[in-house]
Amino acid sequence: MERITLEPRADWRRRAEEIGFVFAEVDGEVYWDETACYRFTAQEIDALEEATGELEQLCLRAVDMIISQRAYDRLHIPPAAVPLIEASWRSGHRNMYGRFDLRYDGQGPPKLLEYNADTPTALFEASVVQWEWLETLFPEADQYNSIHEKLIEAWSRYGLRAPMLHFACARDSAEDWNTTEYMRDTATQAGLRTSFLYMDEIGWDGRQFLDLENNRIQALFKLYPWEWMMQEEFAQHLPQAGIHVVEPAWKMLLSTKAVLPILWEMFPDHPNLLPAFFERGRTGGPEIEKPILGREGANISVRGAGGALSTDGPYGAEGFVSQSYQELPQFGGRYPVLGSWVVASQPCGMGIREDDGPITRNTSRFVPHYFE
Amino acid sequence: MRRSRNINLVLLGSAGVLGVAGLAAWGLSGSSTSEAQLFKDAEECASVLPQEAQRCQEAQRAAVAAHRTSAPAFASLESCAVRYGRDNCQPLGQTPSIDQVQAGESAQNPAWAQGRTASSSSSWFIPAMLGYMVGRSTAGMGAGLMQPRPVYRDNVGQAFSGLAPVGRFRGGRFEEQPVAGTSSSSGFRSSSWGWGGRSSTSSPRTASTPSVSRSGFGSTGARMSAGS
Repeated sequence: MERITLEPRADWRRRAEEIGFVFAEVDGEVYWDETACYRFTAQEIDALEEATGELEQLCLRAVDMIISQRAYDRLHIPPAAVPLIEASWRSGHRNMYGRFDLRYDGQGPPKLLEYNADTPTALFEASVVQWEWLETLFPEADQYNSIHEKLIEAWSRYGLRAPMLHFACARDSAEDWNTTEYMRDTATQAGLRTSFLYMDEIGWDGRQFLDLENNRIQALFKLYPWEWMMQEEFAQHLPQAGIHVVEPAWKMLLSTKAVLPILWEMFPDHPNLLPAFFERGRTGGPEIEKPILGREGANISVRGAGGALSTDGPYGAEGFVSQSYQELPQFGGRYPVLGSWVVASQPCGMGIREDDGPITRNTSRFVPHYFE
Repeated sequence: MRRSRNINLVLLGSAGVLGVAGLAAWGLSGSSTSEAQLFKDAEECASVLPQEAQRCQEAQRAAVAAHRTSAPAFASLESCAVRYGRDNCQPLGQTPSIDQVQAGESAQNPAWAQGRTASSSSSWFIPAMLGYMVGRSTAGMGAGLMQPRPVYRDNVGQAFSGLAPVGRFRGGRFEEQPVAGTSSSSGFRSSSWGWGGRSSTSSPRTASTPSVSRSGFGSTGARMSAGS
């Protein structure tokens, strides 16, 4: 694993626009950063792929355990969500995708920092944008990225019994819109009929959810967190609306930091896990405290690592978990986090985000990779 | 190899396919924030924009692909007919597949465009495509990214691109209606019907639906970013 500095392609902005990448720059700052890339060996990619497949299996076993023991309180799952979670799991509603954020330095085993199981982004960048970059700069090299092909394949096998799959996200986020439209693009290529609307445009007529044409929404892909939906007015209609949601409701059990101590409890000393607890001070070393429901590196704090680090933000009402803290490795003064993708539970690609500091935020930059 | 062999995009990107010159460069006249134009087919498009004949073909293919994948679908011919008129509705199975569209089959192929004879494998009915809108948007999130969009005509002669009314048939003549607002060129993001943020008890398009409430989802996302 090596960081290589590069001269950006002169026409990278035009290329980004041509492939439909609308947030290559965010608020005037570069987000897609091709002034550098990471080069891996095939053995390192093997290690990452294997760890990712393993972590997905651990997570599925955790879901099974949580549901069979009804351990919802430990994960701060709202009671109204429980019937949805159980119904989606028992009916076998399939998961499409997820992103494991890994700490990896090319030496020891990859370690799970957290699992973005419900609304993972940085998908289009990993799947399409860095592939287009590879095609033009390193056409002979390989890249750990067959995300696009795996998404189309997964949609075509999804077995959805609905005339149309609706796609929705929050209004006013270019990133969310772009990611949602990308997912819709892959579903379209798999032969599904699709339509887009914003979350606030979803209608309810007393019996069923409706789109803007007043057609019934029977199947919905939402790039919108379950825990937000559950707080909102229409959540009360979900049980009787006969709606199939992707990601399924059971992903709520994984898209929470509370699953980290559960995993450690179920699989202690697993080489791909970091020690994690619901209480402070049990790891016996430096710890990072993360809000149970938090995003983009907000509301975290580090204790006992020779200096305190913390970020602010709107999260933390549900409590925190404490995870053993290992600072991210540095490459050329930058701190990379490896976002390792599963599609239909199969590991299939990776995207790297790096930051100038050891906490990855929503302002971190996406850096492409290849391997030989 | 663990990389994708080939990547095509049918919704995102310029003309839907990586590497194909983009519709972002459509040279439509005017300088408003959004510019769009309705064409019956590629031939009409090329007669208005002779220098864009090739793109007219590409746009037509993309519009037919969008028609195939996102036209409003009804479970019966009757329910389609209520909204679009019986003569305007066709079984979904008679529209061309994306593969056919990408292989360049004409949107004018009478086997499906007229579509009353062939037996259908599908139980869904969709309105016939009247034409398509092309254009560019210079405002909003999807700036420069506007897809060619199919246009439909309802049973009272109103033509729509997504939700945006784009014109009206009166006495056999089509009267174009300027696309209002900054984002309405891509009709699916249009708020010109006023759905967002309030309950709608009646509108020209929902006469048969007594009461639909909206905005029951999305309030949290208005304050925070959803991606993680």
